[in-house]
Amino acid sequence: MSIYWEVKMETLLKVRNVEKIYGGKGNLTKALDDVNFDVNKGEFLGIMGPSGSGKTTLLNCISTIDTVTSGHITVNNTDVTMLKAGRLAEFRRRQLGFIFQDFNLLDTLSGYENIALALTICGVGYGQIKERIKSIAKALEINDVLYKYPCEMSGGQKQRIAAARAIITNPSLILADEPTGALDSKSSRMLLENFTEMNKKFGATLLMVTHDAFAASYCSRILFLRDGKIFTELVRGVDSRKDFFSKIIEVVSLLGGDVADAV
Amino acid sequence: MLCKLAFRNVRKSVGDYAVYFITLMFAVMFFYAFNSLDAQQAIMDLNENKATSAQMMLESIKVFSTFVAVALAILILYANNFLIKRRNKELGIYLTLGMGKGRVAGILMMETLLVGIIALAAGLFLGILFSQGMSLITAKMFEVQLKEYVFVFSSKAAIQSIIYFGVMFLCVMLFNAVRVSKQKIIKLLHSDVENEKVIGKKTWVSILMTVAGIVLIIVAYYLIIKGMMIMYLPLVMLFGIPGTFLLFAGLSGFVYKIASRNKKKYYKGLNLFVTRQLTSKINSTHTSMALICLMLFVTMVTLGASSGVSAAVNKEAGRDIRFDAEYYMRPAEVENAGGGVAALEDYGIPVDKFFKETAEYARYDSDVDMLADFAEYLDVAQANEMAGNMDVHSFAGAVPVSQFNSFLRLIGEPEVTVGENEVGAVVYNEKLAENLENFSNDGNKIHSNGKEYTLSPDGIRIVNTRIMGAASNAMMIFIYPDADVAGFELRDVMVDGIYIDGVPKEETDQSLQALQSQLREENPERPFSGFTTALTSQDSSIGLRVTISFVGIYLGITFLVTAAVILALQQLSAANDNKKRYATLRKLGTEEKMINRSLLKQIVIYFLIPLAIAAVHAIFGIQGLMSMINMAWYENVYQDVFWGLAIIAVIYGIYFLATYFSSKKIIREK
Repeated sequence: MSIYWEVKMETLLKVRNVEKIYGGKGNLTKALDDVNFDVNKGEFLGIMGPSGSGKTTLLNCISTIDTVTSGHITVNNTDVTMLKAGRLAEFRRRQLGFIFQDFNLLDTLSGYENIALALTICGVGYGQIKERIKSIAKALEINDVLYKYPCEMSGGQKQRIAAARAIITNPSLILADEPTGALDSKSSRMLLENFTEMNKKFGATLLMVTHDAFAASYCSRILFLRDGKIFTELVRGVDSRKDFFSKIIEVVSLLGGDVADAV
Repeated sequence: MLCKLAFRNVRKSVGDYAVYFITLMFAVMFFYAFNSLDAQQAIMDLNENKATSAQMMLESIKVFSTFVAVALAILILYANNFLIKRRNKELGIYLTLGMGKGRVAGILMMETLLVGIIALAAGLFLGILFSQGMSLITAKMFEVQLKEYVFVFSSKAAIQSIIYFGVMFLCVMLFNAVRVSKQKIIKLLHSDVENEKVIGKKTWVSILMTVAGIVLIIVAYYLIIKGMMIMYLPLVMLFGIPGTFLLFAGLSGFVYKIASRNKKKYYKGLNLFVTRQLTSKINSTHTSMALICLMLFVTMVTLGASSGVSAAVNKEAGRDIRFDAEYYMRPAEVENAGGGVAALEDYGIPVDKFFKETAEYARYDSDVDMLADFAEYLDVAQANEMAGNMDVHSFAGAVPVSQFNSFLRLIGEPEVTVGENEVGAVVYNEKLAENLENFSNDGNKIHSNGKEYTLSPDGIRIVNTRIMGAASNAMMIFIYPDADVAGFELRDVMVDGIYIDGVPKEETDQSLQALQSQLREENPERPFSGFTTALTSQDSSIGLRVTISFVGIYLGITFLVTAAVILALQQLSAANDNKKRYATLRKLGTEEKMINRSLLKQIVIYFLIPLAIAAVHAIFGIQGLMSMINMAWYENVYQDVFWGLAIIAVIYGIYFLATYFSSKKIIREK
């Protein structure tokens, strides 16, 4: 745990002794094994690890799409592992923003409507919707694709619309699952710069699961997972992105195998 | 192995097969039940007249069975298509595992066969049960008793059903085999990823199309209201059908435009999602929606009108005929013999032996043009009826008062007296009588014979002068002073009679008819051109009624079920494609309640649009038909039409509910 952040910032996400066990009766797989970490407000946290290390499982548990076997996850002082099923939807709506590898935009809706939908679900009125989309669109430079349909957009444009949809509700935490996974390098770079923008300008807290060391180098801190356990962590601190990238590559080669392949 | 795999597949995907299976089973049941009607009527105690009309019904059912079979075949192919689409991935996996296309096609054929055989057997079983109940209904409609209760089984109908549906299954099997052998693995494996193309035409094009469609439809309606339906039927279709297609083609853009006008409402809850879902669905299925709409329209008109017409026929049969038999005598023969009754006696019919009482009167064509003189006092349908029937001039009938009074005496009506410049009138319904009274009360005169007649208000009689059916008469017959008919053209002489007392009327009826057919063999030169008895007319009208009702129900329900099943399958396959969209909504934190409500809204609207447009069409269509029927026959039959429409509502509703609940289940799947 980073002492440097702990002193200055309040903790947004607390993950305590989380275990996730799949299967049953003699065929147990421990996807998460006693995972502990905190995320502070305004952090841009990366989670890296080889395939099967439990990254996505961890993300699913935090996002309440999946449930933990034991342990606690607290977001903004709400223990999501104790939430009743009926409150989960509301929790996701109010506290979380999602960005997926395959965008998950609704293809019948225009970009504008896709972003607006996140707000209409929360019951925000049209006046505010207009205002908020206007400011987000300017910041993420998506004005020219707002009135296009997903099938008319490039992957990068789609993902930036998805990012806008995730941040428009001012969620406490934005969860991104391999957001650059389906993008070319140029679009990746643009998206990641957007993320930095969201993080710096709007003070959004981001938690990004990624395979890609380049994507990870935009984060302020990176947790490495292996076999369901936290293997190590890297803090960017005052490093330049280039230096941070080299450090990440070092850890990745230490971890060996899969992640190195993906670089 | 193949068999085992096929069997397991069917068992595994019972849920998917349900719609297909139920549709098949229902089709077989329905087909068998209607085609076994001949076996059913064999057990009924039908007299000769009724047997003839039953034959007429069977013939019509036979003709329409081909239509029904074609509609059902299309339906089965469509349902099958839905089923295959849902299993593309599974088929792709077989192929990647190295199974040959031939064997995959074999599995599919096996499955089709299995489901087909079970559905056929179950359908036949249900059909046989259903036909038992139908016998009772048929017997009741023919107003006869069953000889005794026997279990009816028509092997002919069973074999016919097996052959027809066997051929259909064969088609489905071939279709599936061809489909599989033509598919690429990659497409099968990724079929669930493919997105519908959603970008439609430009909004203004859509709006233009909708408006053009509505204009065309209004023109068609106008033609119907103007009472020109019969004459301009091709024109009505020429405007109505393309109008409907155009309306649906532009509908998605039009609906979107309207829904998104009010931004506050549009950007509220899932409204924008529902709107977009609906419009994209309508956009990609507008042709089949238009077809469904037309099909529903035909259903409503056949079910509605057939119950209306059969009620009208019923009322016509039940109308108050107060004599038993009528002869239309040839004027020349009557003149030679010196009277109608005398002519019959000369021919060999002992009139006194059969009839207690007779009346005879001559009927002329007057020179009163009903269309020209009474136009303002008739409603459009009546005027149209006349114009359609008799070119442009339609002359009222004329009868001499003294002769006609003998007929009035026969049926127990008060006699008519007319002064020198007065006429009476005979009409067959109250509406017409009222129209004539208004005419007279307004001080109008009737110009005829170079004279001016007043219509004596006491001289209007509402009676049935013909057994043949009121429509075979001129709409109005004027009762002239005896001397004044001399200048008119003599049409025929009517001889009407009441059978003798003491013997059952049926017996008299039969022996009279037997005698006449015997006489006819000896001497084909009969002195009369027409002969009908009240009993014959009743029996044949029962037959007509049963035929109209059965054919209406047969066709109507087939069309209805076809339309409903296609809509249901479209929605179910949409739910299948939408699974991912709903999953996204859930991740965004949408409440389950909200999602269900949005699904319900979509399905309700999707089911209602074609129904509503078809209903508006049908209001005009049935109106057009009924105004003619009300004209030709008796009064109002609208409430009977209502029952036909109630059947539609129930069946449609069942399919709607089934669709909603299955869709809900599908979108919950992971």
